[in-house]
Amino acid sequence: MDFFESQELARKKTRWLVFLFTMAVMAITIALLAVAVMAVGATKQTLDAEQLWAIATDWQLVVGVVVTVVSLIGLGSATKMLELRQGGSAVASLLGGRRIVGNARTLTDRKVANIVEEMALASGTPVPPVYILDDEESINAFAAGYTVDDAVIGINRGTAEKLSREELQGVIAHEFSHILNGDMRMSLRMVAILNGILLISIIGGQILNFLNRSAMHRSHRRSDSDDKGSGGFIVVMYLVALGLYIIGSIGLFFGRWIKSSVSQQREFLADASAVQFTRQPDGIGGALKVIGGFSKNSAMQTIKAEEISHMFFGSCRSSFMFPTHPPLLKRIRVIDEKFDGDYQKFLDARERRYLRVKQQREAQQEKKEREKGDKKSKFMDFFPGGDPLEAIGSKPFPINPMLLIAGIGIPTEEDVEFSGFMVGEIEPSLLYALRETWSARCVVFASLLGNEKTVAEKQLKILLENEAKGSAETTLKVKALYDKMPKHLRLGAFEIIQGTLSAMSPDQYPAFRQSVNQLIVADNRVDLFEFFLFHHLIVHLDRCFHTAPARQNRFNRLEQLKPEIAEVISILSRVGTEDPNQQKTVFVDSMATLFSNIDSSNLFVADWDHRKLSEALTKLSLATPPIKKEILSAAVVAISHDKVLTVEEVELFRAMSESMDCPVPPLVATRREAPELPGPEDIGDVG
Amino acid sequence: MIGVVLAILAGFAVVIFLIAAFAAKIYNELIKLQNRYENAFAQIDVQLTRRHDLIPNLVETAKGYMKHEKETLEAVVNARNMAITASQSASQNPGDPTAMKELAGAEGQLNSAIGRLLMVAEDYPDLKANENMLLIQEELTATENKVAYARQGYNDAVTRYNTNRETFPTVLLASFFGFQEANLLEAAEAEREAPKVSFD
Repeated sequence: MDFFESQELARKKTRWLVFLFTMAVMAITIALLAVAVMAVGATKQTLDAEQLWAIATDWQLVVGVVVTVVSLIGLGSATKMLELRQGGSAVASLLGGRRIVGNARTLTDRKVANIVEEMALASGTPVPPVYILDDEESINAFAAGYTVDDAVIGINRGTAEKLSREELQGVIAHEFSHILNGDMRMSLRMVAILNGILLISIIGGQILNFLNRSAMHRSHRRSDSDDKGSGGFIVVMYLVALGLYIIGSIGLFFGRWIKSSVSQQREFLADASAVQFTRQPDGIGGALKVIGGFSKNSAMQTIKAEEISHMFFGSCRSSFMFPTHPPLLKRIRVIDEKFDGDYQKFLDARERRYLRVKQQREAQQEKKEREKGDKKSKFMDFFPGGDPLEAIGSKPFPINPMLLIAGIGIPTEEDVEFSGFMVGEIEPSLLYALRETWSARCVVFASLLGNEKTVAEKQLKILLENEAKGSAETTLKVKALYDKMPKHLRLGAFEIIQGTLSAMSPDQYPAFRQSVNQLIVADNRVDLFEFFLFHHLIVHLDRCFHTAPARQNRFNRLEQLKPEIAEVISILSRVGTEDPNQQKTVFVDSMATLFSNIDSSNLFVADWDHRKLSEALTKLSLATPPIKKEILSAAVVAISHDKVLTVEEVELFRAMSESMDCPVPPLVATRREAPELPGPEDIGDVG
Repeated sequence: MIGVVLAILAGFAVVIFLIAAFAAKIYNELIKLQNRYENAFAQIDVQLTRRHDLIPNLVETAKGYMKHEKETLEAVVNARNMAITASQSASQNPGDPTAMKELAGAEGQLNSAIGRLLMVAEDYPDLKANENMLLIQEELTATENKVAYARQGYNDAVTRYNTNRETFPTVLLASFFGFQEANLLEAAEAEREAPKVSFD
């Protein structure tokens, strides 16, 4: 299964879920109607079928019941949905998470932030904000959000402290697979819908409670024998409350059942993906075993975790009915068949290994330094002809272009390792700046500064006028560092910036956005690659700060997007060659893969305008996953028309694909075979 | 009669539900906004700590040249220690009125102590030309700008929280839930007037 199939599956599953819940709501309505009919029948002291039927078909009663149920469930779901509107960060704040900001100060924070950063760069997504749940000593973690843009990762303090780097990486890879699979949206929706159904049983319980108390109250003064008329009323109240309670429980029962069945399968899939992303079964397997051997295992302290229990790495509570997660041992055995279930033995061995490693550390330190050189040569495949930093010209290398498509959204061990290496290649003071809100802004400004003196001066003046004191100075300072940064590091750098800048305050962002617009207008000659970086950054941040409408899949036919596709493909056709005739040939050939029986030569766009391109890309990102796959395939045809790909072309493709929300791992072009995401069929027998 | 009873019951259920959902929403919103400004404070704290870390270096460098300015140097060291204490208690309790006032005061004192030191340094040409000194000054200015930016972010978040807390439906329940008003972090006095960390 590839990325697009997985996304489409998640999308369809959401629809299926909505359908199931609609059925549940209808079932509840019918059950409630039956209760109401019985109640009315009871007061009229009749059990005659015909009379009951007459009551049931009384339109006033039916309308009353339907309106009550639908409005209750609807309101319950709507309020929750409103509350979770801000996606991942709302969930993290509710749980009391502490966001790791800037350059983390403690070693544990840094370790977590580094692993998340590497994982994001390896998958080609913006670096998600990381929250530490300081009050939680157990081992657990979660990923929450609607899309890649508002996704956050939450980690218990216990997880960060007790797990080794390798194990932590496994856990984070598991969470990333939730982000990449596109199943987070469904998880959040499930929270909202369940909330609506749950409320009916709560209200039933409340009324019962109230009646019991008032009944006790009344029994004290029963001598006043005036409760002739109210007796029937009380009985009806009891019946209705009991009915509400039971009906609510029915809803809850089905809700939990669905939640449990959907969630269990997702966990197996995420485990399998984690193994694939890191190719280290010991990482995620080790983490699961540590949970098994740890007295607090993965239980959560905060009561708020219950609501989103299905979004966690391990189960938040032990439950025999409808567990949100598969049994731990089962999960471990899928990864490590030979595991005998003796957690203590595993922990002892782990402890011994840890001590041994500690002793050998000094000896290894020296070796590590030497290995650094070797590591470089390992990635030489991607950069033929020497040092990766120097090879970034336009040296072509032959590859199978279709592997680019197959690799989307599926990072592998090499990508993860390479991302760590890439971060190391960024100049340290620049890296420091990328991780800090204030200076990350300045890096963005620096990337927009024109090379001509008059333009640059005009731009600096804009910064002096609009931005906080000192911004222009810092911008100039980081400009020198940014210009020296090789192109293959830039996309990664922007992915880090995307994460950093999401920590701006909602009042600071519009000012930043305005400065960016003015800088672009002042120069008006943006490099194509920089443009894609930029578009990606702004689209992402707009969604973070909710200045853009929430995204929906809207286009499911290529024809709906013809001018936009032509715009993008035209630009890509012009990258590889200077000759206008050749450019047009490339364009027509690429378009032919999408629209077989149309002559598209008149659709060729000869020059590009950043506003039009940006609009086109925004529209393309609204296509359904299968359509996106076709568009990106045509893009690959365009850039690989001359049978060779340059690093520049690959990076351009990555930037473009990512701005359409299809994350591309950095080493995708070096793959020899197409990776596959584990699909439901792969784990069919374990669920 | 029956229709009326059912209507009353349904209305009753809806009212209870509305109140419960309403209260829960208000509570969660407050929690969320509180968490936001607490996390925003962490960004100030990072920069303040960085600034505090620079000062021993500054004092050490200046000491070599300024033999007769022991008092000025000591004042900087003392102000730094106070600022560290203040920022520690503030980061444990962001938004707390006393903690915020103390922090603003301590940072103001530190600023003016540094300002005095730099003014005195004008009389020592060798110190002025010392490369380490120039570097530290550069760092201090940069950090100052970052503090200002982070403080703006924090104050935005606090304002949002306070506004939400004082707006009509929330104001009824905020104190009941135990949400106190949060304090802004004011710019330290000395900092406002004196970015004179330049030597020419």
